[in-house]
Parts: sequence; C-alpha cells; structure tokens
Amino acid sequence: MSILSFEFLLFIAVIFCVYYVLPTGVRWLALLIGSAFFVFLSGWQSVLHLGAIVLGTWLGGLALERVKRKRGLLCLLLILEFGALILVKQDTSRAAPLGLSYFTFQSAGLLMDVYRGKVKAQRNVWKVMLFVGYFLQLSQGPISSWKDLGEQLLEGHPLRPVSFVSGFQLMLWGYFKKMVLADRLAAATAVLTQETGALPGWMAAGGVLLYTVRLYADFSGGMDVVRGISRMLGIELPENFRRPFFALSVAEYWRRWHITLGGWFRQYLLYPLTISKMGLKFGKAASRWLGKKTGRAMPTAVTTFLVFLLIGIWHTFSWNAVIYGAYFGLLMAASILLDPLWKKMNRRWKLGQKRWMYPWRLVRTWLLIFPAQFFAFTESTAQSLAVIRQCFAGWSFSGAVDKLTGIMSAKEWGIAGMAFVILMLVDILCEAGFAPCERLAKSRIWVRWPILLLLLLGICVFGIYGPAGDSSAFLYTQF
Amino acid sequence: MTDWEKLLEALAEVDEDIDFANECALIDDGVIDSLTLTQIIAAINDAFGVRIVTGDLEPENFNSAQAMLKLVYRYQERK
Repeated sequence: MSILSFEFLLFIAVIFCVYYVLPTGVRWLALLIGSAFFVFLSGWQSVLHLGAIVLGTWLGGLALERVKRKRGLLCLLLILEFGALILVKQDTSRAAPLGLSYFTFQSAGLLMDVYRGKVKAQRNVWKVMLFVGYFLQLSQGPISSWKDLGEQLLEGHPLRPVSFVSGFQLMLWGYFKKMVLADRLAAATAVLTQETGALPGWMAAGGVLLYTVRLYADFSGGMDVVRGISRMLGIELPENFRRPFFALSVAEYWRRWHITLGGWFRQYLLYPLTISKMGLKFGKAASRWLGKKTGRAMPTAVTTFLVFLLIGIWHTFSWNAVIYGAYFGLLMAASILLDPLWKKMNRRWKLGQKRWMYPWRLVRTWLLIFPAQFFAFTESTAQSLAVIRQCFAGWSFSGAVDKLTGIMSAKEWGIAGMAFVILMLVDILCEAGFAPCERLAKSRIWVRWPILLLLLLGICVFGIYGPAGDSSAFLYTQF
Repeated sequence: MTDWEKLLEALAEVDEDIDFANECALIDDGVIDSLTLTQIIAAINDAFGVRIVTGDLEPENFNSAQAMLKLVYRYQERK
C-alpha cells in the first residue's frame, strides 16, 4: 500500500482512532497490528524476510547478553543479515521486500547497541517487531536507533493538539512536495533517459539539475509525510533532510542529506574502524611519515572513503553507484587531509568571517556536488557519459520554448516553477531561523486554517495522480 | 605535568582554535565534528595509553575536557 494512496489515508484514520481509544499502556499494539497489516499487504517476501530478521534480532539480542563469545556471535548475525540483503538486492528479477535496507539497518543497529551494552536486549518479540517493522519508517526510513525510536513507540502518547496540528501540517507539506513538484518534474527528467542524442547542452545539464530538485522534493517529501503522521501519534522521527541546498561544504551537504543513513554508517562503521586497534596503529605509522596532524587524520580519511563507497553501492550494484560513492569518498578524504591547511589559512586571513565567502562557498559546494548527479539518475554508465558529452555538445537556444513545451505544457512548467519557489522560500525561512512550520502550528486558528486549506486545495488541484488515482512510487522505496 | 595539563596539551595539538579548557558543550553545540572526535581519541591514546571503545562515544563523555579526563580515569581504573 503506497503512502500516497487513498486507502492509506483511510488506514491511517483507523490507526488514529484505535490508537487514541486504547488505554495509554497498550497503544503500541495499534501500531504493531497496523504494521503487521501493512507488511502483510506488501507480499509474502516481505512477511518472510521481515519475520526472519525480527526473530534473528530478538533471539540474537538475548543471546548477545548471555554468551561469552559476543564478538563472534555479533559477526555471525551481521553476516547473515547483510548476506541476505545482498542476495535479495542482486536478484533484480524479483521485487525486493518492502523497506528491506531500512529494516536491516535498524535491526543491525539494535544488535550492535546490545553488543556495546548501550541498550538491553528486548525480551518481548512483538516489541522488537514493532521497532524493526514500524510501518511509517518501513518504506524509506528514516533509520532510527532503539534509543531514539524504540521507547517512543512503546510509550503510548496522549493526544496533544499542538503536535497533532503540527504533524498534519508537515504531512500536507510532504504531499505538496511529492505530488505537486517531484511528480511533475518526472516528465522533465525522463528526457535524459530517452532522447539524449537530440538534446542541446543546456537541456542535458538542466535535466540533471531538475533531477536533483526532483529527488530532494520526492525523498524529503516522503519523509515529511511519515514524520508528520508519526508526530500526530506523538512519535518524533529523526530528521532526514535539513535543507541540503544550503550546505557550505561537501561534508556539510552530507550532514544535511539523508542524515540518518550517514549517521548509521558513522556510528556503526566509521567510528569502530577508525578507533580500532588497527586504526590507531595505522594513524601512528602514518604520523611518522606525514606529521602528527595529517597522520592522525589518515585512518578517518580511509574509512570515510570506504563508507562513501558503500553508501554508493548500497543504492544499486552498478558501476554508476561505485563512481558516485568513490567520487564523494575521494572529495571527503581530501577535505579531511587538507583540513589542517584550511584551518591555517583561515587563521591567517580570517576567511570564515568574510561575508563574500558565503556565496562563494555555496557555489563551490554545488560545483563539486553537481558532477556526481550525472551518475545518480540512471544505473547505466554509458547513459551518464552520454549526458555528460551532450552537455558539451552545443548550447543552441533556437527553438528552446518549443523544446520545453514539447516535454510539458507552459502551464505545467509554471506550476512546477511556482512550487519550487514556494519550497525554496520555506527552506530559506527555515534556514534564517524563522521556523515557519512551528509558527504556523502555534498561530491563531483564522490564520492557520486558511493557509492549510489553501495547501490542501493546492495538492488536490495541482497534484499529479496516476491512472488508478495514486501518485507514482517514491524513488527511495526501491532501495 | 598534571593529567589535566597533559590532556589540554594533547587536545591543543588536535585543534588549537578550540577553547577546550572552558567549553562544556563541545558535541552538543557542534564545536567538534566526527573528524575532530576521532583525532581526540587518537591523541588520548597517545597521551594516556588508553583505547576508548565505540560504546563510550557518547556526547556526555566528550562535551568537555573534564568529562574526557573522567573517562580516561575510568579506563585507567579498569586496567
């Protein structure tokens, strides 16, 4: 069941009623039954795979607290979990279970937290199931830790009007981003994979830029929907996007884009590898050759490269994903190794305090991020290279209007443009600390509801609907 | 040299721009990032010979130099 379908809205309405009617102590059962129903509807592969992961997490967690060879057991459990993930993902002939990566990451995180003694193994298998398979984070995340989400899910929250309204608002905003902007841009970005040879340079480059906007509106829109609905239930899911287009460095971009995935890799792979015995030894050896500062940064640089390579491959097993990951890995490793030099320059010239540096850093970040996007919109390297070649093929603007209106009508372009401007305005206000969503949630009823009704009307009138009345699937559900 | 001075010297080697002696929300306020954190762990390892494990990478252990010294003492007691 897509979270964009009418049935989903009905399903959510039922969940709300049952959740708030039940006594606080057992409200989590409404979420559990809802999640089981949601998984059941997505097919037997999902039921089997998720069921196996839940059982493994439950029994594995309990065993990790009892056995002596904890490390060996943890390794075995992780190999089984990620082995299954790889096996299922590489078989492209069948649809992967719903939310495969997300529940695998969440379960592996819980097992590692139990191993580290950060949380106690959960004795109740149903509680483990709710945490691993919570239906709102199942389709595309965010990836949460037990500390962040587990206890919240089980707590049972009272109905708080401000949270409820603020959640409703966030949900509407998410639907707006997805249905009015992202799905409308799908037509414009489709030309990149269809008729590359005939495209003038500006259309090829513009198409890739639009793909980036579409991906942001699609993925962050989906996140807003699930975070909004969760907030209406009193559950606060972690943020996955924090206005990535305003990042001032590539490192900051990754702290703003798909935040929980980066956080998971940092917590469970980058830190353990970097501060392991081997990592520290490597740092000491490198310090002898490169000096203390650069030498000590070497283990972090190498593991960061590895992490980005894995993040790339996690998307798909394709050369494009390898190029995408390795590109960002190299950029990040270089920025880590050059960090002492940058700090020295900053001390001497006080560059960080200069006003003109802001636009330059913004543009520089985008100049660095943009090339990677050529490898993000398709799995075929040949296709990506063709689009890059096309960017240099000539920038003739003759017949530009006809070419654009051939993709979609001027009215559609106008709506997409307006939606983009609204999205950017809200993002700029958030960036400036104005907190428009929080202000609106607390504003007077005759200010708030006309705005929300306008937003709702905007979605109903300008939203893109599929043949069955559903919107198209989210881009990130495939991972 | 006291342990406190030894720690401050090691931390200054990592980043001389940060006021480690007085800051008390290094992680919460985003003063140190993941790169600086891993370098601090390497510096503590060099200065005190203790290897901090991932399970102890909690904000409360790294928000201030005092907290870091407490963590070092905990490791030394366990030895």
